[in-house]
Amino acid sequence: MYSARTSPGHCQPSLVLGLSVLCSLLLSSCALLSPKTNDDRMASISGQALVVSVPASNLDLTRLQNSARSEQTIMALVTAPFYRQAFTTNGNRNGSKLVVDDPSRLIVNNLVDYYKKEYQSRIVAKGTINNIDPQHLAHAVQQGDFVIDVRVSDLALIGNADNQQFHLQASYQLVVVDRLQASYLIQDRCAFAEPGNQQMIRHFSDNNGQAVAEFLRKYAADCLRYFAQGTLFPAQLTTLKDTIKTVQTTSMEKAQIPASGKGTSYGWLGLNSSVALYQEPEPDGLTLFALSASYTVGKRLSEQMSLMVNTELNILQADSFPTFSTQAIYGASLGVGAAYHPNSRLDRGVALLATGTMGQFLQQGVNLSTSGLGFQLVAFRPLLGELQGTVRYGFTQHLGATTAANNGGHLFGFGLAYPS
Amino acid sequence: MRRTFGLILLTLFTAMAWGQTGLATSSGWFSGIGSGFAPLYIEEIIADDQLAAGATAISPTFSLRTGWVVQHYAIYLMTEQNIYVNEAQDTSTSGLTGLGISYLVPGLNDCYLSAGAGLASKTVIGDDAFASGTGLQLGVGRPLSQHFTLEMNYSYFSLDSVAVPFAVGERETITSLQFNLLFLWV
Repeated sequence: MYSARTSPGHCQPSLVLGLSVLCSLLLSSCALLSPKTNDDRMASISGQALVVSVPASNLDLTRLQNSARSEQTIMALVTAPFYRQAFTTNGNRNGSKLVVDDPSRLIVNNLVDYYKKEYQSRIVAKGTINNIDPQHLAHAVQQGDFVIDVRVSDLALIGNADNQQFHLQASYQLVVVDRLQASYLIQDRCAFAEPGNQQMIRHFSDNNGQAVAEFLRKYAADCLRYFAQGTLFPAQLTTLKDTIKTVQTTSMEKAQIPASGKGTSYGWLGLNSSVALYQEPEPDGLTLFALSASYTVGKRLSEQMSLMVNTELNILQADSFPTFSTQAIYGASLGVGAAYHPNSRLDRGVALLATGTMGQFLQQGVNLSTSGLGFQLVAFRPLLGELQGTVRYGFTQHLGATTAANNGGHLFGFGLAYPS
Repeated sequence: MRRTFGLILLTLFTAMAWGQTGLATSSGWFSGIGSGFAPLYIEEIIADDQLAAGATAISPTFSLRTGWVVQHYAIYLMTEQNIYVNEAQDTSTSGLTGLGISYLVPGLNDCYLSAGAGLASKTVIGDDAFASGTGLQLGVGRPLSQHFTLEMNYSYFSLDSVAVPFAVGERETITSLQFNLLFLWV
């Protein structure tokens, strides 16, 4: 009658293989195969910002995957093997449109409250997305790093040829989208059925499908507990028989998670211009103008920090009044340091780099030693689409055997960069 | 000052270099051969802490390396030579022979950092001039394919004497920026 799954940690060895096979057919993350529970996964993103996707209050039956027609009566829940049975009980079937209340909204709101208490999650945006298509998802992930969505993902009437009756089967799907990793942090399904409560099809179609709504509502709290704490309940299913999936689920499963701020590494090609001011030699000092091509790579170290390496090839020109060097001076520099990204997006932030530079200074009559060490402070953010703007300040101390040319100077610059 | 400068540089750029695709997926013995050029090559002859003479050139470079790979690290013996002809038609070669250590920083957009140190030398071919000292190399690189990798290296050689005909000076330093294409056997 009921098929209950044994809870993780209490599995009989003989059941493990069978359940593993079953689990592999399901979308839900199986605790038996994967060591990580939803609790582990949510704990790993403690304190993070969530965007809540709240489903519409009524289930949209026209979005049933298997249906080529806009069926809004109880027939929308009947799958192909049972069409004949449903049609032959014509006259017992109420042909009115179903208006089924969707308790997913309750589940997601309560789940989010639970996450706020347990994992100190913050809610940064909330909206009703009727259909998780890629455009809606793309908009949602612009608002925050994690999008949480709960909705009815399967709903079907399963027929019994012996007594011409049907019972209901449904599932809720919980999805947490991780924008940073461009993947799903959680993809879990809570499926349930009442094979013991078989009725004629009319029962389910009366009162605009009230029985269906009640069925969904009845197990909403159980599924909430399952999503939050992994608590199983007797009516929970391990397999879904002859299910109908809503298009919402299909779109969510296949939705492309947009690339903004994704992943753990970055690379930019840039063009920069800068001016460096040196006080030596007295009295007027030295000014260096530089145009440079740069290649910056980085790797995320944590939520808000990344390792950054910047290489530059420079063309410089020196202005030392009253002489003005007309020779182009070629140089290069390497910077290694860390970047801070205040809202976890890799495309904006502030970086502090330790830099080494070299250039043909002495050879071109500029009183600076060939090599130098220093630091740079760089601020960067997108300006237009993926095109980035950078602003920097730096200090370089030139070092070398020619001690009179070991001067230090301040650098100011700006540039543009594009992801490579 | 020279030693301090070298030490500071070595401490600062402690991330090591590594060829990713070919080397990262294997361990054991590897060898490599490379060639390239140094668009910035600066020789400075120092006398009394002042620049007495100098030269800049664009010189081709050649390198060899052989070593051992363990996970993300590699340690290898390396030698590289720059060669150029100056205005007086003297052919000079300078180079570094020493030990290199590499480390692939995982996830750094396929790029790696490298370091090496050892004996630096300079010879003027056809002349008796020879100078030696210590050398340091730091670089970044990126594998292009299974076997080919592109590197950009900064080298600093500090030579204890001067190997330039008719030049007066106490010591010589060579600073260069090189681009190398390496072919690696793993």
